[in-house]
Amino acid sequence: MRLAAWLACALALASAPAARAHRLDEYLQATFIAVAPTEVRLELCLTPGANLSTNLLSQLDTDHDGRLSPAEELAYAEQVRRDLSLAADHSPRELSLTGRSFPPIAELQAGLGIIRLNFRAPLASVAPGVHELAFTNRHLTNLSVYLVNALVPESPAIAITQQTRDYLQNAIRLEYTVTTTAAAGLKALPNIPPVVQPVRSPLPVLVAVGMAVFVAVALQIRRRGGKSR
Amino acid sequence: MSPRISPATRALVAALVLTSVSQPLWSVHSLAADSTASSVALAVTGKTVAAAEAFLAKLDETQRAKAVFAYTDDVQRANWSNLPTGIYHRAGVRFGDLSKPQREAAMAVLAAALSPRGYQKTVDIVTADQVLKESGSPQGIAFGEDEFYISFVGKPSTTTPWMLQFGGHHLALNLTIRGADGVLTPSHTAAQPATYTLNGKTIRPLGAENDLAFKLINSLDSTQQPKAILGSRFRDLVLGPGQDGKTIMPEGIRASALTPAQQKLLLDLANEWVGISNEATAKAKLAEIRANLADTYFAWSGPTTPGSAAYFRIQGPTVVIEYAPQNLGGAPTNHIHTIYRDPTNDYGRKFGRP
Repeated sequence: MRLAAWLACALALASAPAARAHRLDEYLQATFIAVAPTEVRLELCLTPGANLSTNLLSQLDTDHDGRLSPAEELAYAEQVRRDLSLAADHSPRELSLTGRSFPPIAELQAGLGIIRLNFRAPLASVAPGVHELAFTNRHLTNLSVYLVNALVPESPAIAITQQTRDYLQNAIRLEYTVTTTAAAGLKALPNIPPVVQPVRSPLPVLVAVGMAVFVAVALQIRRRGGKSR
Repeated sequence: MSPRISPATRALVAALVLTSVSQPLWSVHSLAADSTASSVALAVTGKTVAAAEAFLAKLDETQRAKAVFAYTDDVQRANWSNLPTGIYHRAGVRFGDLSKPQREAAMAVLAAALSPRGYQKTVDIVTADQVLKESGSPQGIAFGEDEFYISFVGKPSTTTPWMLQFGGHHLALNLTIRGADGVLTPSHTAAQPATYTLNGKTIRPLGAENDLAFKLINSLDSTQQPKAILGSRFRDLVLGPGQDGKTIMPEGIRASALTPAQQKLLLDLANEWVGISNEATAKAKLAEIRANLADTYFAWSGPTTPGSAAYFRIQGPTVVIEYAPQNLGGAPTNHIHTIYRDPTNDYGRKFGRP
């Protein structure tokens, strides 16, 4: 009954001109990759279109109770994890789930909810020099629109020199260099430079000019005083 | 014979030299210019605060309680989206719940805070949503000018930081103000329909952005274009709503590899977003982008034939701008999403907390 209602709702949405303006029958999968000296972290932001919610919910809400239990969330995250692959310097790396966030089912049904999944994989080698990472996302390839981007590394010891994606963006190859400081286990630093507020106040100049005028007047008075004597 | 220098002159020179220890002598002029710019910006802030107070005075107590949030309310600060009402829940005062004088007062706040063309762009985006509404809204989704919200995060002030939020479907303006300083990031502009006719006039809310971008990409020569054009398809914004706090690797051609004329085009293009805010805020931001031009990139994805659906991005140390045609519903260029961010100062985080 509920499935039928969702389907009816989805069809109604699809038939309206304005609704066609939103991503209804595509699954947006955006991946952000953070490279650190000793690990790679991934954040996947998954936004299923409203018309996909019925199918997706059948995979998510396996006991059909209208809500997502921790076990159901973990099961789906695991399903996604199996569709991802990561290789560091041509050597496959195991990804482990480190975080998850699921929106309420109503938001998924509306095509609004973003599922966020976080994964990490350790990097065995942090030897100074050039390294390569290769990532592929094969989750629901027939329905999905992909975006994949490397984040600016937090550690100054890591420099990403090239990112090469395939046309659809479900695969990316990152080339990066590690300096000796990373190999020495330098702690990661924030990538945002410290805030330096420009001096906007003219007060120092005004004070200086005031001082100059005061000294000049005092000198003139002293000179005139000397002459009169 | 050595020139005679009066003690007064010597004292003046000595004082200026002393001053230059902490500030280079050349900065005396720029400080004076800064001081003028700062006065202008403060006047704009004063005008905006006055308009905000006048608007709040026109609201009843219940409405006022809805309109003003604590400056520490980080949930409301980030409560914006590209999505329409019905799918996304906004807070603040809904335009549909305001009387005509209250609406006019709300629009006066925008007129004070934005530049004339920024204000016009805002009106054009809101009108596009009204046009969309009249083309038929699906059940449960609300489009149109009634579905836009205004709110203040923090009490409008000429000295302490506060934020003006105005948004609805396809629009989110987040202007944080602290005295003479202002920042319009993150802000989202979008349009659907991207072209419509009103009173016999063709309106393209994001038309200038589109036209300048095609002009820029087509000004690049055969060695420059391959550096700017990415080999992948971008079907959406990378740093759109919900992606606060991320800094992606820049891509494309470095502005240092552009000719002065191309650099000017790039700045003109950026100014389509930067220039939404009042002139004082925009001028300071554009100067900052210009100063970082050597580390600023321009990237493109898609065809270069004017009128086609193409994604582009401008990214520098303190700016990220993306433009992404949604390519949905069989009309590749009639639904555009854009984002404007400053990875170092979104929501005016440099301004601190009062």
